[in-house]
Amino acid sequence: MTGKPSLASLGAKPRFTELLRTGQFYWPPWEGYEKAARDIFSRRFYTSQRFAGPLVVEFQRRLEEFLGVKHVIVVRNATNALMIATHTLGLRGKVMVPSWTAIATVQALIWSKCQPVFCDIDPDTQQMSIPSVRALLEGGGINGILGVHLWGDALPVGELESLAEEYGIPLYYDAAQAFGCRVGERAIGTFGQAEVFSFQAANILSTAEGGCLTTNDDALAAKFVAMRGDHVPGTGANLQSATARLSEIQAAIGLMALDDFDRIRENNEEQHRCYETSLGSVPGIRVLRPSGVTISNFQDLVGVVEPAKFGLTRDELLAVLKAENIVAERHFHPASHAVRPFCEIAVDPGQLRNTELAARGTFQLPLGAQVTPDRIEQICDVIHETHLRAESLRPALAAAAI
Amino acid sequence: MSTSPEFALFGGPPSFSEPKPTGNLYRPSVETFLEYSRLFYENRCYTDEGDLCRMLEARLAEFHAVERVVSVNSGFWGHVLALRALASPGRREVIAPAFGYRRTDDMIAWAGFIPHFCDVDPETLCPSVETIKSALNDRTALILAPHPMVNCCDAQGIEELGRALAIPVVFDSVEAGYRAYKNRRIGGFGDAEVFSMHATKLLNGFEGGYVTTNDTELADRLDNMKRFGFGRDGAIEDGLALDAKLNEVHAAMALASLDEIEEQIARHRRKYELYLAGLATVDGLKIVEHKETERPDYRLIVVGIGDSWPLSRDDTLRLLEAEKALARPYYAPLHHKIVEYPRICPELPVTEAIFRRFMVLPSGSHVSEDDVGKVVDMLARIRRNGPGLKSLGKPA
Repeated sequence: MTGKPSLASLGAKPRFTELLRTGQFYWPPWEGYEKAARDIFSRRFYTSQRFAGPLVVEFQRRLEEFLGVKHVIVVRNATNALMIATHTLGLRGKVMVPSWTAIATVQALIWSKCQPVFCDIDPDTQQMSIPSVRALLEGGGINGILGVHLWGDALPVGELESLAEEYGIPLYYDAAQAFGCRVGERAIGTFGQAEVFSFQAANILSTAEGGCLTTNDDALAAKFVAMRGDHVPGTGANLQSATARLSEIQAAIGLMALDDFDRIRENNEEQHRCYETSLGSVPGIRVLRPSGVTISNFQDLVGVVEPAKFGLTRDELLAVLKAENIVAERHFHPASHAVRPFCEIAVDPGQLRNTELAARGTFQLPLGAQVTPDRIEQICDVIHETHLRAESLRPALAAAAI
Repeated sequence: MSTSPEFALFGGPPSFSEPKPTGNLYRPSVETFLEYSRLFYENRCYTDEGDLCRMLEARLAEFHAVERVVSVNSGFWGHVLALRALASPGRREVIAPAFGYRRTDDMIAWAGFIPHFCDVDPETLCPSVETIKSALNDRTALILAPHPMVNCCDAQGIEELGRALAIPVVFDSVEAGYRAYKNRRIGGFGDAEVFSMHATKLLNGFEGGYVTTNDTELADRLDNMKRFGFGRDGAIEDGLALDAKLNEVHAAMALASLDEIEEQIARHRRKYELYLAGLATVDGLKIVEHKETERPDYRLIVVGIGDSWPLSRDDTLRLLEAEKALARPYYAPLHHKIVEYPRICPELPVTEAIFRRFMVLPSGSHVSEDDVGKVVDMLARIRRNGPGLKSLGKPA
């Protein structure tokens, strides 16, 4: 490549003056927030005590309507939600889960005294691999499946449900990244015994921190509510509490986000398209496009580096981006089965081959409230130039690392 | 059965038009809350990575005179993390009183331990060095000692006991945030202390909590454990972690509440003094006095019921509840409830002897000085109508 390099790693000024992080970070306008705060202060109902407050009740009702599910129980965060679901389903012993997931999925199982059994992923979609799930089920001893929908996409729900049915074991989902996605006509949130969403700020629907459980099962819903810490007359009085309340102001923020959902989703889709178009011409970069859903929330821009074609490794690319103030992350790093102490769980050779590959090559780029098509164009320019200047970058990066 | 029209339970109008709770529900200035909120609107950081959580931690460290404060999303999960981080390896039991916070045993069970209940001291209503000693054995992993609703437990004595036996001590200081024991601020005792910022507590953060400690290594560890095990450099150091991060909205609320703490205490003091003077004339009730030597918060009003009181505690509470004065029992013993995990429940003679003799009267920010007068008046009427009110019968 000729001309003066415009990369910070080669001595130019960083492309961005402020840090661009991965994550959605949508947030309601000030006016709505201020009004919600004043209302809550005058009502003096700040959070649930024995009973859920009016905004929590309203938020749950609106979510039920949006998802087309009978019960939504909002909670403090998705980890608590997964612990509540695992506990309520009475799971003990071995529960299947992909290693390629947020570490919280696995942690929730551990707190609930279950042992994770790690299945592999499909190399193209990075969703749970059905052949891998089947092979592990055939090995016996699995008491439940915790399915995970990744990257605004969905795992093959039909096939997984058939397998769970065939083996007669509970199936529930970590759908933290899949709020607003649909498979056919059905919303994610209506599958399995229960599903869990995250409303952490990095996801499309944000309450700063937060999450919810969804289910069509009345008895399960009553137990979820009791474990959250509400008083439920006649049921579950002695269920082990997980004290997982969402506050009224969080519910107010969630309601505003839900009102704005269509616009946010369309914004995501447009940004996703910008990335796909611009990165399509960069050799050795593959952008994952949600393919298992009819509607995606497009909340994550996930790419995979193939070093032989791109010219640099994933970690080298991330170092170049970091120098430009673009914090592109290695979600999930490392994969769950490589994290202490989960690395002590026995894994057969080749059991997680695709997970290992994904862990070496996958990265995530900023998409959401912090970026615009123009900024995305600049980020993609950086990646393109990184490819073209790979030869001169390699020694520069090696020197910088020392 | 008497049906005195003086009482709402028998058809009279309730004394209060809206319920008067025992929870604090402190309302700081909404303008202050909004001012703090402006900060995360500017830097667009809404979670634990933001400036307000760090500011709150620094302010609370100063407030409690401790090295470090780790903010968490609730007192409940703060306890679970502290227990998990501190318990002696290889040991399974955590000592805690049965006469305490209703979810104490649930917290211990989530942390992976077996609650071993101890008795309480009849004067302080909380565990003492002696009652803890009687529950000690070679399986004791940790001592979880709560401060009572009024005054302090023998924090220094329990701290010294733990140190002598090399058993970690965590204080449940949810109700004691403002206090001091032997001129040392609550927050710095034992290995760690845990606080709640639920709306019903002294500091209203909507939801939230924090852990105080002078052990910086422990604080670093808890900092990682509350964010999935991620260290500040982004690597996972230990996978046995949780998501217990506070968020910026709740931190803004806690900061606004902390700004007004002294004014709040002054208001509680005036109401406490009214209760103290008023109840002095009601025979059979004895207020648990806030000790001036322990930097009292005057927040909670705990009353002991004497032999000369005409009604049972529970009948008294029914009468008050009908008046919309939501007085409640001073804790229900945990060993009386049935749970799905193992616990060790020895004989607890003091707990059994006293647990029906205490109640908590309406107080906190929803209760005015006039309201205090009305509650005192209600109790005086119950006293006067005493014999006629005996045996209220079963509620409908």
